[in-house]
Amino acid sequence: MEKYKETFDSLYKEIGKIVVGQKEVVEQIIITVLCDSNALLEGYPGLAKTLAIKTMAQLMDLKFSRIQNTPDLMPSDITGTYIIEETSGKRNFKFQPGPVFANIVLADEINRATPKTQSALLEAMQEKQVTVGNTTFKLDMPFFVLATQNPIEQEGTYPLPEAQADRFLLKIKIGYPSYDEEIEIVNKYAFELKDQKVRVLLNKEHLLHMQTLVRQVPIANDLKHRIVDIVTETRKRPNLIEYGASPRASIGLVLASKARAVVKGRNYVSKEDIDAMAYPILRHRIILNFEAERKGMSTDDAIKEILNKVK
Amino acid sequence: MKKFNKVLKEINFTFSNIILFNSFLNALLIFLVIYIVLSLFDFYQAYALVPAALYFIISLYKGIMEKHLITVEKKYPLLNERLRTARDNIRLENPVVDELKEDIIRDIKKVEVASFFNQKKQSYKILLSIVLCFLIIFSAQFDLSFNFKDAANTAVDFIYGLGGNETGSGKQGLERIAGSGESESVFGDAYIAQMGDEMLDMMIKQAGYEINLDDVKEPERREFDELFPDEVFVATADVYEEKIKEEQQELVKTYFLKLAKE
Repeated sequence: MEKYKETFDSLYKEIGKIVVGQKEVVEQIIITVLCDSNALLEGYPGLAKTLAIKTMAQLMDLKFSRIQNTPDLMPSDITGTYIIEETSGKRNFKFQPGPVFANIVLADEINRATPKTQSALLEAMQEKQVTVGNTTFKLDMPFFVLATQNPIEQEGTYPLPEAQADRFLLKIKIGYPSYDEEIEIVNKYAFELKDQKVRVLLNKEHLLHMQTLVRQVPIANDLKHRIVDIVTETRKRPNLIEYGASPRASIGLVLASKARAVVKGRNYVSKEDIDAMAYPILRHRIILNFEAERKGMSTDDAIKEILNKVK
Repeated sequence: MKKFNKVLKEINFTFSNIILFNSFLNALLIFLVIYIVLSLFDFYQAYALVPAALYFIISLYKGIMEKHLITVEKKYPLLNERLRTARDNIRLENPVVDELKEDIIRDIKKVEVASFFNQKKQSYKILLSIVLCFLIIFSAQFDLSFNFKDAANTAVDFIYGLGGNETGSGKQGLERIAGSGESESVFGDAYIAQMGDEMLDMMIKQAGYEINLDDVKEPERREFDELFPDEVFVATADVYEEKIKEEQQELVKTYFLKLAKE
């Protein structure tokens, strides 16, 4: 496990050349990748969401594509479509793959796309395949969708339905950098024009091997119980939470905790992993009631309260 | 996997021994303390076994039920969560679990059994139990005890004395303390009653009332003469026989009746 930790440390170091700070965000993106799942990134504009994901794709030597979601974006714009191709005097339909045929897909501002387009992306996320017409195309592995969401400017958007949001393993919140980090950002990008190059540290095979490894990480029985206790507790608090998390959250929390253990160079899951991963796993899966919102509580506050209650 | 199993067994065995020793030592202390108290107040000392035995059983049960791996993990943060994880996944075999088990087998060598055994505390307990043993021997030697009956009698006397009604001497005094009883013989001879409240230094030899089974002998078998005399008759002395004629007997009877009337 030590050699994996070294790899991830190098990865942080390398990404640090491009993205200042945001170590936790980078870590959570790696965890999503290791869990063979998808993540929803939420943060204000200009916080290096796209830059971080793009850099990650470079570091892992993965094919990267970006979809800028707009209300007029069609499902075929994502999945691809059949085009007429003329070869030796004959016209044939040829499939032109869309941006979804990549390893890392950045769906920028996913809440701006129509529900129809969002659901097209869903099939790709869940089934790792795309159906166009009568034909189903398998996507290249590994495949991750990292969708971003803007918490402001909600007018004219199509907020992700709960069922759709549940399919994202993590909801990663990107906060503002610290004062010193911001000074460093200014120094890095306000004076120089040249692009920083990053080393490739991982490849597809490595990633697929690590994904298998993550599932092999053992977890103690009492920690499994703790995970289920945390998730079920979200359904037992009508005074705070209107809708709790589904069993998919329990699976996600076990998996994410295992991935975090690997990232930290441990061959077992710790309570610390569970507590750290509970926030990104649960924050998009629970809906606070009016009373909690009136008190000015956030979902993170509710999760903190649950974690304190569950021993 | 076999090696790791052995590690788990060793941990359990060590903890069982420690728990057994601790429970026994604590139960012994409880027994000795209660024994002293009971003997000082003249109660039946064997009752001290009951709380001691109860404590021993409960303590042993609680100790066995305790999660020993957590105790080891708490003492050695290096093994924190790892021992439990490996124990729960003992049947699982994959490179990650195998690596975890190997790591534990390597790190468990740093665990010292003495760290789970508070030597200072146990030494004090042993010392205390020795002191208590000596106290019991001394109290038995000098027959130290607080007799509740005497104390109660003294208290009753004192209370009656305060009320201006002294216990008094003789039969009345004794009646006040011991009751009158139904029979006069309860008080025995009068000269005893005359002693009143005077204290007697008496020694009752219990041995006198005891029956030594060794002294009990088999009843002697005696042979009786089965031959009886041929004739058995009642011989009466001639002096007691009245030789009065039959016709004069009525006359004598009348004479005696007249005498009686006079």
